[in-house]
Amino acid sequence: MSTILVVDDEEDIRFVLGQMLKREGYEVLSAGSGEEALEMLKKTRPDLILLDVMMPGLDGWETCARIRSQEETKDITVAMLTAKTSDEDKIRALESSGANWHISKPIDRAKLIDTVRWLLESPPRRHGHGKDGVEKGGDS
Amino acid sequence: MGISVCIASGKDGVGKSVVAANLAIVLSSLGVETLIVDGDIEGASVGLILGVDPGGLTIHDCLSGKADPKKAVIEASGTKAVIGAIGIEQLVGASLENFPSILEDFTGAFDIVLVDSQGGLGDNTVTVIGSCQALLLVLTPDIGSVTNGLKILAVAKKLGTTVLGALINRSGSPYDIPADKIADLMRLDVIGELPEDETVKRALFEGVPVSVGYPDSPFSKEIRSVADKLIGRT
Repeated sequence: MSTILVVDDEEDIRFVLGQMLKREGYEVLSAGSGEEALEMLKKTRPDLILLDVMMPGLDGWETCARIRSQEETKDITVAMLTAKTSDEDKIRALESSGANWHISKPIDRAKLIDTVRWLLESPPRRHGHGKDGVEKGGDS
Repeated sequence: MGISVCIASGKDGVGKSVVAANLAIVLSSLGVETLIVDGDIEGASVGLILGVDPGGLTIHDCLSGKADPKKAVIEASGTKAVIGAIGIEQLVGASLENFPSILEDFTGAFDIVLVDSQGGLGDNTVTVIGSCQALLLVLTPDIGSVTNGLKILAVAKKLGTTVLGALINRSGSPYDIPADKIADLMRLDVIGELPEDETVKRALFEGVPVSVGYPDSPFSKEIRSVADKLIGRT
């Protein structure tokens, strides 16, 4: 059974998402902030993180960047789940923040479940390997 | 008055020019007065794909004012085309400054003018996107192409160019991002999924457009389906 961590500062959204995902047989963890999510990731390793962007404190962009910067968590599949839906927001999610995918709010249940299934069935993307390659190339 | 459609991609190497050239051939075969213009003035390839022998007038001659644009229109593989120069001396310093007015003339004479633009988001690409009324995005089903495609969409929206939809090229791998996910992320219609097809490479090697040399290939069949959708036949 796959485990999904839902990170959103709005309790209602955490509850609704949790219900949707549990109904599909997933184990669901939830965090109310980026800080709480990073703390949880010290002890647990979900298969997928659904990450809100606009949160007080650490926002989703920064939370995702920190997930990618740590060896233990850098390869966890992360999907931004956000109402920030401009092309620029999507580019930021996929490029600068290193998320695997972007899902727009408001949530369409069927599409969300389908996307979650696709992300969990896809091989995880490996992060942070290019930098090593460049450094090695430069030394030789 | 026809419509000008920029064939764009967020990066080079997705097969945009092959898609553009073959789409022009198929649209022409369906009775649509179609012109393909090579707008990739630094890396023109439409002539090669159409199997045109170099030596005639080119878009570079039109842009520099050396040729009347109407005289640069040639017939090739059943469509009309204005190809680009391939000589280094003509490519250096080429400018698209006169492109919008040249394109307007062409649009007055054809139903559809397809413009094969340069990949990426350089100044030339932005000029071509801004000069065209509509845009078709060609991408491959991978994260890099999709992300760069989003940049093209952002530019098209800013310039007021209508986005007709996306064509996914080289699809068929189990590791592809599915078309419905791309459509959902980009909020646009996926008009066609062109399969990875060895006959495309074979046709390029032979110097014949795939839709002419191999009309029954999976790629050619799908490009016909795309053309049908574009002109509202399906």
